[in-house]
Amino acid sequence: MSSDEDVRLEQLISTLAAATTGDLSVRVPLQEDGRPALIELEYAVNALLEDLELARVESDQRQQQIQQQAARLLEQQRELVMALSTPAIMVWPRVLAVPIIGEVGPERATGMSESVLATVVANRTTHVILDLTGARQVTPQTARSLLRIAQAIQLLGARCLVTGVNAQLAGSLVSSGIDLQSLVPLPSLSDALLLVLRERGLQLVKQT
Amino acid sequence: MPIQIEEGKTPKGQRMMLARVSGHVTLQDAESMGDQLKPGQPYNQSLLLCLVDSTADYHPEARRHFSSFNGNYKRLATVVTSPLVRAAINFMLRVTGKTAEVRMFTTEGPALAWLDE
Repeated sequence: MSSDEDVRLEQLISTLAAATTGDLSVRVPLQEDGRPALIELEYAVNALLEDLELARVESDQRQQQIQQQAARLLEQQRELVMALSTPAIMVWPRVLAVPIIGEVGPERATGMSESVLATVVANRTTHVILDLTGARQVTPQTARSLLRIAQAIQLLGARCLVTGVNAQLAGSLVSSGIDLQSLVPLPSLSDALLLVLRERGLQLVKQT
Repeated sequence: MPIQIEEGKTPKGQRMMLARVSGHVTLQDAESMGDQLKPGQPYNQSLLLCLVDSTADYHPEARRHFSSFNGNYKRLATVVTSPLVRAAINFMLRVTGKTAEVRMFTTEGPALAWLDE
């Protein structure tokens, strides 16, 4: 083997070593002279590196697309969960019931507040019943969020009735140190509806 | 256009596709050539003479696409003088599977004679 071939083999090995570390941009310098098998070997190594580099670019692009798609899905899911987690039901003309189920974190409380207040304004709501029967893991921060929603409802001219307050939430509300004047606590949703009817001068009469 | 296609005739008057290849061959170039060899197309199962000059080089996607040519021509003679381009084509033939219907030459005369055999 000539010294020139030794040098070329050394270049081949160095190129492969660099590629092994992840650098797929390296190439073997091609030369027109020498044994055809050596030229073809040099070309083959370069061709393999080009293929690998192209595959990496395609793979990166696919990965990026998947990540973007996942982010979009996550956002859609978040919006859906937000919408489903704050169902606002008009249970009587201008009376809105908001059953709160599950955990209420700061983000959900913000979304809930925006949604409820928008509905109050749009429907000229007089009463909002925040039903907490299904709420769980009520932290002091959550309690403060709920109180802020209640105060905002009051500012819009509606009354806020809170039902289904459990022992934990009651403790959190008291320890939050916030003025509870804006809340009208009642045991259940039906009690709240009865209060609304009374305030409107209506009463339930059993038909005989 | 890195691949220029024209109709040619062998010394014995057989119709053939003559492809002149130079510069950087992309996937689109390879596809365009391959389309003319597909069943139902003008050069399907015809003789094929490729004159490849020393500037020719192939994009990885083009290299891959050439394997789809197999079986769509009767014989393929490639005339190439550059050792580098010869190495490239030889490598592609290894990848796509060498067959008796493909041969490389350094001059056009013997290539045409082989096509006429």
